[in-house]
Order: sequence, then C-alpha cells, then structure tokens
Amino acid sequence: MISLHYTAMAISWLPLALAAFLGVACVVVARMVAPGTPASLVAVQFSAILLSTATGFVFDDPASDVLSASPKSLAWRRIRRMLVIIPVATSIWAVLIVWHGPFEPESAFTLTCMYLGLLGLSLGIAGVTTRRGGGGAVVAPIVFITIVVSSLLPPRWRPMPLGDVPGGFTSLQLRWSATGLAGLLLLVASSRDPGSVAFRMFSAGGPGEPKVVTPPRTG
Amino acid sequence: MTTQATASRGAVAALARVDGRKLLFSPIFLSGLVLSLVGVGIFVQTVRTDATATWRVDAWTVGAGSIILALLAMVAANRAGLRDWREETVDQHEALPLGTSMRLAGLLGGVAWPATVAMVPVALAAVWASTRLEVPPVTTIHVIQTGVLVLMLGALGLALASWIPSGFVAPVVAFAFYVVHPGEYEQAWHAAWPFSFMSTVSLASWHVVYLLGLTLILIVAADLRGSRGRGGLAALTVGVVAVTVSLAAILPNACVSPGNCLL
Repeated sequence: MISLHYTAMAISWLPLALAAFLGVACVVVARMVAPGTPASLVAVQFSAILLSTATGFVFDDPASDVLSASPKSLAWRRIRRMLVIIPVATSIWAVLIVWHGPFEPESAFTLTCMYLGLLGLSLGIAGVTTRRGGGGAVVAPIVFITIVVSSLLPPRWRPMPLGDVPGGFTSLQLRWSATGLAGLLLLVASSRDPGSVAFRMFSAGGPGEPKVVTPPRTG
Repeated sequence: MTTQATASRGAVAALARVDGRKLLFSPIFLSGLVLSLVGVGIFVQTVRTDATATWRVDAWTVGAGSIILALLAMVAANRAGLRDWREETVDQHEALPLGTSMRLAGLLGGVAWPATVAMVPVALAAVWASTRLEVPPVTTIHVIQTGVLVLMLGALGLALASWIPSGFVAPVVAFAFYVVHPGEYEQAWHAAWPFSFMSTVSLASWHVVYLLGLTLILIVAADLRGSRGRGGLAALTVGVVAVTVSLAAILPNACVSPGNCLL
C-alpha cells in the first residue's frame, strides 16, 4: 500500500479547484441555456480542456532539486503524484459528463477520448517543461496554441479536432487517442532519471560534462 | 517634488523598455505573431490564386490571426505580471522605492510594444491588398483597433495576475474568448463584444473608444491593490464615461434591420 497522503499535501490544488469550479459553471449554464445543442457540447469540451490542463501543475515541486538526490527515481516520484491527481480530475470529469447527459454512448466515449487525449498531452508537456524549468504554468498556453494550430488546419488533417472530421466518431476517437499517446511518450521520455547510467551516457560529451567511464571488469 | 516625479517617470520608462522587449521576445507572443503571419499568408495566397477574391470576404484570416495574436499577448502579459509571484520575489520588490503602481505602469508601458507590433501584419496585408483589391477606408481604423485590442487584453492579463495569481487562469480566459461566440444570428449587442470589427468608419472609431475605455477600467482593476490616490478614481471615471458614451453611439446604429448588422 503506497501512502500518498504526503504527496497529496505537496501538490498545488488551486488550478484543479478553479478548473472544477469553472467546469461545473459551464455545465450549469449549458443545461440552463441550451441543453442538447452544439453550444452545450462546447461547454463540455471546454470543461475537458480545463480539467486536463489543470493537471499540468502536478509536477511543480519547489523541493525538486533537494528530492532529486533521494533514492526514489524521478519516474517513481512522478507516478506517485499522478496517482493522486488523475483519479480526482477524472472523477470530476465523469460527474460532469453524467450530470450534463444524456449522451449517446458513442458521443460520451468520444468526449472521454478527447479528455484522456488532452490529459496525456498535458502530462507530457508538463513532464518536459518541468524538467526544463518552465513548470505547469506553461502547459495551458502550449495546449491552447496547439489547439489553435490544429483548428487552422483543414478538417482531414486536424490532430486535435473539436468539431466534425471525415471519418466521424471513429476518426475523432483515433486522433484524440493518438494525441494522448504522443503526450505519454513525451512524459516517459522526460521522466528518465537524470542520475541513471543510460541518461548520463546519452548526455556525456557536452561542454563541461564529465565523460562516463565504465570501469573494467576485474576477475 | 518635481525631481522625484521626473525620476519616477524615468524609472517607469526604463521598466517599460525592459518589459516591452521581454514581452516581444516571449515564446508565447512570438507564437501568436507566427499565427498572425500565417493568417496574412493565407489571405495573400487566396488573392494570388482566386481572381474573385475581395477584402471583405477573404481578409477574415487576417482578422482571425490578429485576434489569436491579441489573446496570446494577453497570456504573455499575464505571465509577465506573475513573475514576482512565480519567482517568489514579491516581498523583495515591495521593499524597493518604486511602488506597485509604478511597476504596474512599467508593465503596461511594456504591453505597448507588442500592441504596436501586432498592428504590423494587418497593416502590411492592407497595404499589399490595396495594390490589387478595393480596400475600404475603415481598414485604417481596424489596424488601430488591433493595437488597442492588444492593449486592452494586456491590461486584462495584468488584472488577472493581480487578482488571481495563477498561471492557469489567463490561458483559460484566452481559450474561452477563442471558442465562445456571441451567436450566428447578428444582433446589436454583439457590437459590445471586444472582437467585433464594425464596418463603417464612424462605428469602428467608436468601437476603438469603447476598447480604450475598457482598457482604463481594467488598468484601474489591476492597480486596485496598490493604488490609494485620486488618479485611479479619475481613470475609472474616464473609462466608464468612454464605455457608456461609445456604447450609446454604437448600439442604436449597429444593425440596419434585425439580422442585418454592420459588424
């Protein structure tokens, strides 16, 4: 049993609280003003974007330099943080979807693919930017820019479609899943431990960095 | 007293220069500039390949690009406004002789730089188009409106940074502005939407006044925590009067008939 109590206390919850509040407000307005219309769907999509980008703050840790010397690897520390925040964000998303309903099963599945795709992308960007010193505050602007760029492309080429694309629901689900997968790959790549031998061998040779020398085996 | 005021002005100008350069070269603003240039490029390509292209119908990509640029300028200004909070230097900077209001004034002066640069792609597109197409005279006002829109959204970004110090909020607001549309069926109140581009010189000029009024109100909102003087009250009064008068001039004349508006 992993104790996540201290990890939960170390995470900044303000963005997720704001996202949940705004997401609930969007769905309330959508249910009151225009239930079952495209505008109502936009409100649910907006909630997905809010919740997923809010999780981008999960890796922000002022003590990261100190903790980097601990025996626990970077990937392990990140997994612990994700184990805390992803269930909370996803539960809020599930409540919003059910509360907003009724959706056709295919629509609900497509919206969930969109949420998971954005979640994967946000975590991937957060992984990279946190490692490079940017932190979670950069995640939402980058997701915003990628969605804008995606919407400027012709529908058949949009990787992150918010509206109809050729191929219908299947195509939408595939594209959002691919987006999430790309984000997860970014996350895995950025979660390699800076102290691991493989990482040091990869980064050795740069200016001022010591070469990694493997000691000869002695019998 | 005069020497002190001159020194403060000099410090604000120096801050504006530094922050202006930082904003101009921030990756977020540069991304917006690239997207704005893409909008101009699409328009140029359309005009070159389509003999029936017109400014009124096909220049929407230029407008859309400038709106995206303005939104990203807001996000960049917000990040600049949150610098102290992010770097945990709020207390240190509070101890400086230059007050919060002066530092905010410097940041606002810095926003003027991206506002000026944001006008360039639209102006270039209009000048280039005028050699091939009929470009309406109101376009000059629209170029100015682009700059004022960046100023207004920059002030909004700073107000958000002042009241909700989280890097999450400004991108969310930007995205809300991007996806929310007042409605397909045109109505007079849509003219109050900051991104409306009115199609007559008179209405477009009033819309610029409206945006300037909103800018003043947002500046006061951003400075509400630091300001204790009468200057804030005067600026707020001028802003409210500008917004009220401009809306009174725009709203009754925005629509020729129901659904047929000069937006």
